[in-house]
Amino acid sequence: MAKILLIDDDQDITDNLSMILESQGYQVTVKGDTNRLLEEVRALRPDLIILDIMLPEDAQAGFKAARLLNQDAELGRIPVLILSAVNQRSNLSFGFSDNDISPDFMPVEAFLDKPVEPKVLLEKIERLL
Amino acid sequence: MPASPSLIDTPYQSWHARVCEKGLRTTEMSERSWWFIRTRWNATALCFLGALWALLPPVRDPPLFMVDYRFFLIVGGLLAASNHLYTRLARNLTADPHAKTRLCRFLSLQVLTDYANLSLLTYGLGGIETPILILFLPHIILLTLFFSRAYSFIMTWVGIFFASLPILLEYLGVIPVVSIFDAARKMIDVTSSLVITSSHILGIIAAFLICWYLVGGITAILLLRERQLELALQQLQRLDREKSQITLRATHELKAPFAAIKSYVYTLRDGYCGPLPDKARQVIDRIGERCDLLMEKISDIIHLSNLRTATTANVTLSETDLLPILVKEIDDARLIGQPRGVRILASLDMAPCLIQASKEHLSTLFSNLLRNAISYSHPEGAVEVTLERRDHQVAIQIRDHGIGIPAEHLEKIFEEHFRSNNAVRFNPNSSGMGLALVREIVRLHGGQIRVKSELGAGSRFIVTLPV
Repeated sequence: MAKILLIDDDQDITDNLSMILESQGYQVTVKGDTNRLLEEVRALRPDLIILDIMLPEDAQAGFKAARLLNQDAELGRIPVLILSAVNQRSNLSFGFSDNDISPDFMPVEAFLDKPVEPKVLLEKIERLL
Repeated sequence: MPASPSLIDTPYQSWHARVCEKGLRTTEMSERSWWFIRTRWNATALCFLGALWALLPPVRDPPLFMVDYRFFLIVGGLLAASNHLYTRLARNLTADPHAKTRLCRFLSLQVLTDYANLSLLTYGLGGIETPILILFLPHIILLTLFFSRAYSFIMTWVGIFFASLPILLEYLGVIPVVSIFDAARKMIDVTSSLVITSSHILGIIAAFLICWYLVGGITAILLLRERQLELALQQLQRLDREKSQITLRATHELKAPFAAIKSYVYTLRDGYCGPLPDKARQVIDRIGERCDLLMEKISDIIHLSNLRTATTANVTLSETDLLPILVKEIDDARLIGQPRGVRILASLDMAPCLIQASKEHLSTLFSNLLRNAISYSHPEGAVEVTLERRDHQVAIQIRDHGIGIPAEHLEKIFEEHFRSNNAVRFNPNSSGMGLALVREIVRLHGGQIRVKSELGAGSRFIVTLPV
């Protein structure tokens, strides 16, 4: 079954999502930050990465991680889904959506707002895998 | 993060964008270079016209004054040749944002060439007899504005040298005297008079140095102010960046716990932890609803606080067709109105309606007004939406036939958290932030909002936005 790497520092979110994803047969690995990201992704070889934006190390760690992965010829092929409660581009600009996905700004395959309906999340994952 | 979308393309903002790219002085210098080149083409044309005029037979006999057409031709030719070269140089230099030093040299070179041409023209137009020397002054002003006090002082003296040179050389007999007046009509021979020549040269020195001194003094004050403004701007930009970061953190800190709670609600509701009895399912649904309300309230508070501190200068507006945004919000509102049978009747002219706006803010504006109209309508009621184009404005009217607003509360409804008693009774769950957000968004777009209401008969909100 597909392997999913879940990067989020909120244990309630990771426990909850793991429960949902594992119930569908996915193999979930949880990581609380983006430190040593490339090494761990290389070792794990996930089929999908679910990524939060705001992590303890940086308010934009998710964006930075997505760009880092995207620049790697090999790891750049792994689909990335951003799942975040921060849907603000700036203090006057609200509401990310799939329309914001771009190689420069958000080089990922999909964007979802937290909290997400399990059905919506599972459909999105199915589409990406 | 990449740069935000482009600013409105008003003359001020396109100038501002150039200033940000190149720096104020470099921008102004490159613009002045082009101004000098354009003016020089006009001067070239005038020289050739002057040559033509000098060749025409005199209107009076004997003529009041006579000019040798060859001076005009020589100066016109020199101006045309140098200006052709400058135009090519300016294209390269003004396109390069880092060419400040080269721009300074370029401007100096232009001024020196102009000095030489003006000197020649002064000689051809009778030296001491001509007022053409005044044309040296714009060059001195320009030099004093853009260069250091010491450098502009030296260049002012170079100007004095070029302006005095033909007069001095004529007086000393080094070059033949050129006079434009009929010798018979002249009261005295001014060119050979030491008093007139020396007082003329002293006049030039005094006028040029006074000009340098006055402009230099004003420039020094302006430079100081410019520096102070630059520092203030840098500080404001830093504060704005910090504020954005704090806002993002605050949003995250406030929203994240609710996101986690809501995720658990979904997990329980959808049976990932096993089947739930009906009572438990109802409780879970209530928890979910309260979570949604709280998250909405948090977003509204943060959004409103950001809008309050925003000015029209720091909001990104771009040319936007208002119509598809309004149509989408009407479609969404129809779904919200369906459970209570509230219909939305839209009467819209479907031609594009372009205004300077932020799409996100317009969505929030229409969404709030439409949701309010639905919330305070009676079941099976109707909400009417019209869009009217006026001279330089577009007016959007959203009208309901619901509970209405008491007259004494009409002025307060745009205040945050304010809710009239009948509104609280009719719809207890609203945050009371929607109309405050609406007012701030309208303000940021340079528009106006008016409300007309009759208690028990409904309300009309009219938003006018500049086109």
